[in-house]
Amino acid sequence: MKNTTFFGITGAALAIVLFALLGLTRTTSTGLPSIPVPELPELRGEQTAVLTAAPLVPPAIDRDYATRVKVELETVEVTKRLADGVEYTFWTFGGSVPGSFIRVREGDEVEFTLKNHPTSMAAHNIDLHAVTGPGGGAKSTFVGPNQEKTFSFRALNPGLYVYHCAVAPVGMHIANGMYGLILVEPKEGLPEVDREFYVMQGEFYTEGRHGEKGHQPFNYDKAVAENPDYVVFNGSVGSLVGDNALQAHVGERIRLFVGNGGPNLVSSFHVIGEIFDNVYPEGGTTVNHNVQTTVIPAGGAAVTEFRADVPGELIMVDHAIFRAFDKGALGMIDVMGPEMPVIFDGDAAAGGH
Amino acid sequence: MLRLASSLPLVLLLASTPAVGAQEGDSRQAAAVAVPAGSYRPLLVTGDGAVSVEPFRLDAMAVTRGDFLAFVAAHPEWRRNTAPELFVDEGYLAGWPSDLDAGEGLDRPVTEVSWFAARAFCAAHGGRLPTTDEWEYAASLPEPGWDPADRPALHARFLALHQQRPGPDALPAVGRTVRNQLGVWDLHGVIHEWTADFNNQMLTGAGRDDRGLDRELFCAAGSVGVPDPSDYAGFLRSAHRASLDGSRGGLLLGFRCAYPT
Repeated sequence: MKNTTFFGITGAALAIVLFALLGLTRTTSTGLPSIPVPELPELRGEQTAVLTAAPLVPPAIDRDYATRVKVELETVEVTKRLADGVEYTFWTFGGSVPGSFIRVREGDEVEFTLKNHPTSMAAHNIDLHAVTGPGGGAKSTFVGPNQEKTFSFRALNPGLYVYHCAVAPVGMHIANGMYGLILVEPKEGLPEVDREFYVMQGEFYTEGRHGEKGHQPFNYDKAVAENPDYVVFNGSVGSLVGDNALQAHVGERIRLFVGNGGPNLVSSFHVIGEIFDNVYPEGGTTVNHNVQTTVIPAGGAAVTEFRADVPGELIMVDHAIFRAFDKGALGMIDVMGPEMPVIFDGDAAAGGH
Repeated sequence: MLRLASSLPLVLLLASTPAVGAQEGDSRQAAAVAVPAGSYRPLLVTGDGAVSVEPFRLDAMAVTRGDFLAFVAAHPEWRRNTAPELFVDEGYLAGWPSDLDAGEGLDRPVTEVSWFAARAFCAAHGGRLPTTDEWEYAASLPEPGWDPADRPALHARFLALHQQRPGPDALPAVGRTVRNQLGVWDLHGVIHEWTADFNNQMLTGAGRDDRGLDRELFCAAGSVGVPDPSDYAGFLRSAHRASLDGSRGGLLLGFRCAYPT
C-alpha cells in the first residue's frame, strides 16, 4: 500500500515533469520536433482531369476553390513515325510524345493513377516536378506491365512543370519520349488569352544517321555523347508543319506552354517573326517582357505570350539553329487575317529570316 | 511479407502433388545445357566484386505453350479454371482459348504464367527456376565469335537485341533468335523470364524506404555505384524484375528451368 502510493505519487510527479519538458521542447512522442500541419485551402468536391494530347491544352480552370482532381495516365510503348520513312518505338505517357497535358489549380489535391499497358516491355513510373514529395511520385508509381498504382499530392506551387519517367535507365526512358507537362494554375488564374498551345521539345538518338530510313532503335553512345540525330517539337519532325501547323488569327493573344524533355539539350526557344510580350521564364511566377529568345532547360518549361499582330507564317525554332533546319526543331503558326501595313509592309513571299 | 507467407501453402501444395511426369522431366532435363562454374559482374553490387555461380544446367530454350499445355494436362490443379487464386491472377493463361487449348503456335514461348505456376512446372520436371545470378550469368555470355571481355560491345549488342523484341502478338517460336556460346537460346531478344528470387530486392527491403532499391535503380543517385552503367539491357531487366508480383504473369514474361548437374 505504501509502495503503491509512493510509486503513484512518484509516477504522477514524473508525468508532470515529462509533460513540462514536452511542452518546453515541443517534441512529439517520437522525439522529433513537432511541426504544425500547414494550413491548406479546404477541398470542395471532386473531378476528373481533362487530359489533352499536344498541341491541345485543356480548358482554363474557372474554379475559385480547391478540389480533389483525379488524373489517370497510362504508359504505352508505340511504334510510330519520327520523320518521313523513319519509325521509332516511343515510350509514352498516354500514347503520344509529349505525354498528355495535365491542368490543375494551386491548392488542389491530385489523386494520380499511373497504369502501365499490358503490352509494355519495360517497367515505368512518373516523377512530376509539380510534386512536393519523394521522387516527385516516382517511387509511389513504379508499375510493371499490366499494373497500376495511385498516390496523392497537394499542388502547393503554381507553375508549369515537366513530368517524366524515372525508372532506370532514366536517360533511355526520357530519350524514348517519356515526358510531358503539368500546369498548376495560380489560384487567381492566368490572364485570359484567345489561344493556348502545348509545344514540347525533345531529342532522339537513333542507330542510323538523320534521315536513314526504317525502324531506328535508340543509340546509347550518341545519347551519352549528347549528339542527337533528331531534335523535334511534339515528338516528330514536321509535327507542327503544313496541315499540322498551329492556327491563329490576326489580333489574337496566343499563349504557348513550352516544355523541354531533353534528355540532354537546352533549348533556345524563339518564334521567327514575333517578339514575346510576356515570358514566364522557367515556368515560374515572374514575368519578363519583350523577349526574343528564351532559354528552356532540359527538364524545364516556359510560358510565352504574344499578340499575333500581322498575318503570315510564324516559325517556332530552337535557335541553336542547326537543330531547327537540319535536325527537325521547327514548327509553324499560321496567322490568318487582313494585312496590317501600319505594322509590317513588305513582300512576305520573299521569306527568309 | 505477403510473398513469404503465401509461398508456404505452395510448398504444401507441391508436397501433396505426386511427382507426375518423371519421364517428361527426364527428357526435358536431358536436353538442358550444362553451364560450367563461372562468375559475372552483376549490375547491382554493393562492392565491386564478381559473383560466382556454381555449375548447373539450364533449358536451352524457354518453356513453350506446347510444353505448358502438356503440364496442365498432367496437372489439373494448374489449369486456368482450377489454379488457386493465391498463385495466379485473372491474367493467368488468359490468351488461351480454353483450359486445355493453348491456341496457335505451340512452339512459341508460354507467357501469362505466374511465378508460382512457372515454379511448379519446373518442379514437375525435377528442376527449379534459375536464380537471378544464374540467369544473368548465362545471359552475360556472348554469342560465338564475340569477345567476352569487350563489355561495351556486348552491352550494345544486348541492348540492340532487347530493342528488337517483337510485341506480344508477334512472339517467334523458341530457338529462332540468338544462341549464346553455351547453346542457350533467346536470352535477350524475345521475352522477360522469371527467376527464382526475382523479388529479392523487395524482400530484403524492410528498410528500403529511401535507400536500397531506389538508390540502385531510380533517378538521382541511381546509377552511381553501378559497376558498368552502359549495361542498359541489364537495367531494363532489373527494373522489370523489381516491378513483378509473383501471382501476376505478363504478355511478355515467360520462363525456363534450371537443374542440378
